[in-house]
Amino acid sequence: MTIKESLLGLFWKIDFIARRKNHTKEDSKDEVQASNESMAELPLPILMDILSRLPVKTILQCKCVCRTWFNLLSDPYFAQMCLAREPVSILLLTNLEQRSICKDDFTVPLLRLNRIGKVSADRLSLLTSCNGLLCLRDLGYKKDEISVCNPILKDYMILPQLRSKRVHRKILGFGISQSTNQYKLIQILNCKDQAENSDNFQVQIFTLGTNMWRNIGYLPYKLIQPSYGAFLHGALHWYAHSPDKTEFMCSFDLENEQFQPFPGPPIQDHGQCRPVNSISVGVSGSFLYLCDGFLESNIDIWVMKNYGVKRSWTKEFIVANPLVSKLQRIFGSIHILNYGVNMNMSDEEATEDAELLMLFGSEDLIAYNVKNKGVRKSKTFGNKSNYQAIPYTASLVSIKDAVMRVHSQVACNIFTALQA
Amino acid sequence: MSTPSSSVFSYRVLKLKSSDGEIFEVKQTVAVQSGVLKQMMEDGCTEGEIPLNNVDSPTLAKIIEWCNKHHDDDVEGRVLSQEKEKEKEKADMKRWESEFIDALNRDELYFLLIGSNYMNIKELLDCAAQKVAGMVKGKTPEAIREMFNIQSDFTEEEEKAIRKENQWAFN
Repeated sequence: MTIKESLLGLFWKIDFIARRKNHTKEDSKDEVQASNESMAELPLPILMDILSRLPVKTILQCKCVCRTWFNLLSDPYFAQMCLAREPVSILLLTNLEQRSICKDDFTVPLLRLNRIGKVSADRLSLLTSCNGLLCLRDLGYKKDEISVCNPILKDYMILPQLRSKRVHRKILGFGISQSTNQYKLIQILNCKDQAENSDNFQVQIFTLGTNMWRNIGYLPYKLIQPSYGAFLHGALHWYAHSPDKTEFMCSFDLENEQFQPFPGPPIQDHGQCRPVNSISVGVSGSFLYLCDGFLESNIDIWVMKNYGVKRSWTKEFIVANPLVSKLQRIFGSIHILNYGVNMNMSDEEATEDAELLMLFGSEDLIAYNVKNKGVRKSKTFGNKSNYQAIPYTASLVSIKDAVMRVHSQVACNIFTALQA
Repeated sequence: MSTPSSSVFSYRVLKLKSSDGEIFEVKQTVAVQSGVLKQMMEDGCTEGEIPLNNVDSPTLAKIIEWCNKHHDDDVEGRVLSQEKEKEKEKADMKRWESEFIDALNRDELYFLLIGSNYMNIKELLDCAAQKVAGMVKGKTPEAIREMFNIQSDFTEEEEKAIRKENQWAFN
């Protein structure tokens, strides 16, 4: 969040200079005797800082306080400030009534969503999310509609359809490029009549704010896990096999739109000999992690402490619990929810009640006690067929703003080109 | 260059002058937590009294109390023998911080926000801002208006519309 930080710095500076000027003239005694209503006098940058620490739900309620607050809280810059501070929750897309969902004492909040616009939950498939924007697939009759939405702002956008009906598509991931701040989706295509063992997949990119999918060449890797690339620092990450077998992880940079090898932890890849669903990659609290369950008896959780630095991969936990191992083999993907957020410790440092929250596939939530190696299973997740769940961070990021930003960038480029 | 020893000594202490004219002496190693004072030290302009026109003496005393408590963490080369010890120290510090902030009344908190922003002490500003956020959380818009002494400038219909539009999507 370098842009955010520098902007914030700028704010402080302007504020600081402005008030220093004011106060050379003012009688300082006035301030000392300020009345009980002092909070009303808070400078805007401090007020923004305070409000950005509130949960998104409270912020929405604050919008009707007054016009100044309404404008402040609707500002895209404010949405950016809030992003890093909102805790991760689990989004449940379900038709179930609130009262039929069991509550339990897990530390992660549950958000229940039963429809998006006019489309009800049972017709939608949750794919992935980034900065509070959800990527969904509408499974309606003869439909193959991909959409992006922010359920909180009721912002919704349907992506362009595929031109040919003879083509299958699979969304690979969704994220935001680091310096241009463009939201992008990436998908692969293959023809229905293409030979089944062929792995020539056309890769396409869609930038929010444009009106078409762009071809960017063929997929150079065999992507294995996760289904939707793990998004961190402007790139998507996978456990993957490359033709040259130099690395077993790869990333896709959303800025330069290229796949490249990514340094993995010091484990043995085992290649084809590795059992299905024995490795999973993800992101928790801005750390990339890899769960290695090659041995059925335990799962090693590796965390990349310094992004991009190979030797910073650290084996943080050895999860020795038969249920956890079993669930990994069934679902393949493990979403760790609280590492680096309200838990930042390894096996050795953990306190007695330290629990690692893990969501398997989109179905099972468990809390694994790091010290005594026991697990608690969430009661919420009882009747499996009735919901889908993904880790989700609510945000005030608006699709309209994301689209407008790209439009203005395009306009700016045209303008510069015309001038040249 | 030869410098008299007395002046070397005086450089280790900064003289901060509050808005109401009181002088506070603060060690450089403590004062470095303030981004503004740090910058002044680097620029070599900390001789004499440093006027802090935006900070009154009770607030400055609080700020210095905070900085004194925190400056040990920054001493270079201090190695804690065990991770456990580090964790414990962190927890103790958190407890001290919340006691420090909780003891303030609303006015003191306000001046502390202004002062720590003015002097650019990020950790203190964070802590105070978090406290105020905690006070806002869970309050109705009416209660928030009262807390910040704000008069609503929306018409009844406008307010109704905003409330409806911003109804929480999740239930």
